[in-house]
Amino acid sequence: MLEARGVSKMFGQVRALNDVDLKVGPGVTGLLGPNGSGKSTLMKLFAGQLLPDEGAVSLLGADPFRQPTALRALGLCPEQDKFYEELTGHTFVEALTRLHGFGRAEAKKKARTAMDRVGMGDYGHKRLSEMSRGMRQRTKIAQAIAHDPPIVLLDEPLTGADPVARADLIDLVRGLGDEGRCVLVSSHVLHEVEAMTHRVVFIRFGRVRAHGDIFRLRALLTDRPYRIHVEVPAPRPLAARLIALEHVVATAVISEGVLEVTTLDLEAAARDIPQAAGALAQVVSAFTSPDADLESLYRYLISAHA
Amino acid sequence: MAEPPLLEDRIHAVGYRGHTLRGRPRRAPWPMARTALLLAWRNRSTKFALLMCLAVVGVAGVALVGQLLFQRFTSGSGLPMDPASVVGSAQEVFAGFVRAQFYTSAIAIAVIAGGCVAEDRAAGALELYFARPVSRLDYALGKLLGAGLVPTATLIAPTLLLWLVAVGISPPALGAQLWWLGVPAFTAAALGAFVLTTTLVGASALGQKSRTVSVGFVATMLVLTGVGEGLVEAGQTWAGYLVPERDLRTVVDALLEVGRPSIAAQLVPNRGVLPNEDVAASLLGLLVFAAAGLGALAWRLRQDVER
Repeated sequence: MLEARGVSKMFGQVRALNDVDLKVGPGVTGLLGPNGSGKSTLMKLFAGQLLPDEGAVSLLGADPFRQPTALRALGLCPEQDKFYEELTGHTFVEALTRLHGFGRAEAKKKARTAMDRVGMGDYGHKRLSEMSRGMRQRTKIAQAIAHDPPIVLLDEPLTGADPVARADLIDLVRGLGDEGRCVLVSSHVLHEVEAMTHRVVFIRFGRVRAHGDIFRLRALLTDRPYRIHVEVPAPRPLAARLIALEHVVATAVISEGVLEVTTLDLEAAARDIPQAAGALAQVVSAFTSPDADLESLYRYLISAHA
Repeated sequence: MAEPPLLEDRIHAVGYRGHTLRGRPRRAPWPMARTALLLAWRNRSTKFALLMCLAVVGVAGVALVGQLLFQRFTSGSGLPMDPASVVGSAQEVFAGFVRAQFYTSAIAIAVIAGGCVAEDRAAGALELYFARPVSRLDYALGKLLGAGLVPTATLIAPTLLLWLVAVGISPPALGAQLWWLGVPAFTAAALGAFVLTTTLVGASALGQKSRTVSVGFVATMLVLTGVGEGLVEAGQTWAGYLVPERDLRTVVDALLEVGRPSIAAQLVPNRGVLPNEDVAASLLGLLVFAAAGLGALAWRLRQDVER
């Protein structure tokens, strides 16, 4: 649905994007990277606001820059938070929906539906200046989805939302993906991205460093063994038994009742550790891997040495 | 063991949403203009500026209606009527109205539409607009339309209204003569509205704060007028062409043939003399102001919007 082929973009002497090849299909995809990595530039290229210096961008097969009608298939929720403060939520969404070519009555109906969808149906009469940041985020998302686009770009959609609103917004984003929309979410809050999707794009210095499923990407980092924390009543005998396994690199008792196992194969460890504990008549009360999540993957991929 | 498929090949969603790009979208300018006006209407200063314009319309209306009714009743009572003087006075009223309303409209448009582009830039709304099927031309037309509706409401529409009133209540013998007054009066008002709209939108494109643009626009108009008039008085007649209001006055007076027998002409001996000598140069001056405004808007959009 979204595709970048060999895309490069320069701003003066700065190369914001460098030979980016990317295909994003239906479902939710997280776009991750540090500040200045090129995420916003990529979003703007997909939104038809910038022209690549090299390569091509396509949105459902059309060039969004040269064929702006393709943008009818796109909904953008920008990071910017300051808009027409004096407009009510409903009027704001309606006004922007009309720019997609809908008549007033139709745009009004779509705006109300979208506001209801993001849980703002009862607050749409409020002016933007009177809304909390969470409400404004929801209203921004409403304007992005009001015209029912198959492609939605969300730039930091959870900024400022309270925990309850965040949970609702995460559900909403997942729901958009489950409907078959292509949803590209840019965010710095990794655990929230993880709650939305396991499919991510890591970008750094204008280059795509990784693209795919979090767990599969993590498995590809063979030079970085997994650490697993196992809680058992007597960790030392278990450590002695586990160190004999081929995939186990190291074992260490890090605190009373907690064994840290370093392994090259997470799946094998998940199978072997309970078996070994069982053989020692021990019960595993907790089994966690502190570096099999998105945050550790991000750290490995984005760190200067990665 | 076979490698699991790459993630890019997996579809995580249930189903696939069909996509249609049928038909040509409606043009965006009107919704954009409407949004700008909706925003302006929420400010108290907008209502105050419109009231000020209404007051000028009221004064011109009273003057015009008073004169025409007086002539109508005196003609009915058998007193002699000088048609040329009546038409001349009506021309004076229209010319005076367009000149005075040009200034009040300048204040009104500055207050109402000063932030039309500036606020969009400051608020980042350009990103929202241009993520939609909106071109730079659509955007420019939307902003010009929104701003242009202000002088349309304060200058063009009242001119039309005053003309209809004049034709409607004038003595039957004068109806035909006043009928033709509509074209020059309307043309003058439209020219004034055009210049105000383009220069204001251009000024808004250069600024980032609504209030700064509004104050700057009105102040520039006043400074240009003050300096230009001063230089003209000092014998530098070329400076008259640098004053938009003076240029407009020249064109309006020429169009309305001010100076023909009228009350003002009887009271002011040189009333028939045009403010600037050359009408074409004054018209050119106005067009240069308008072009400067449009140029500023085009330049800004080229700077801020790549598409």
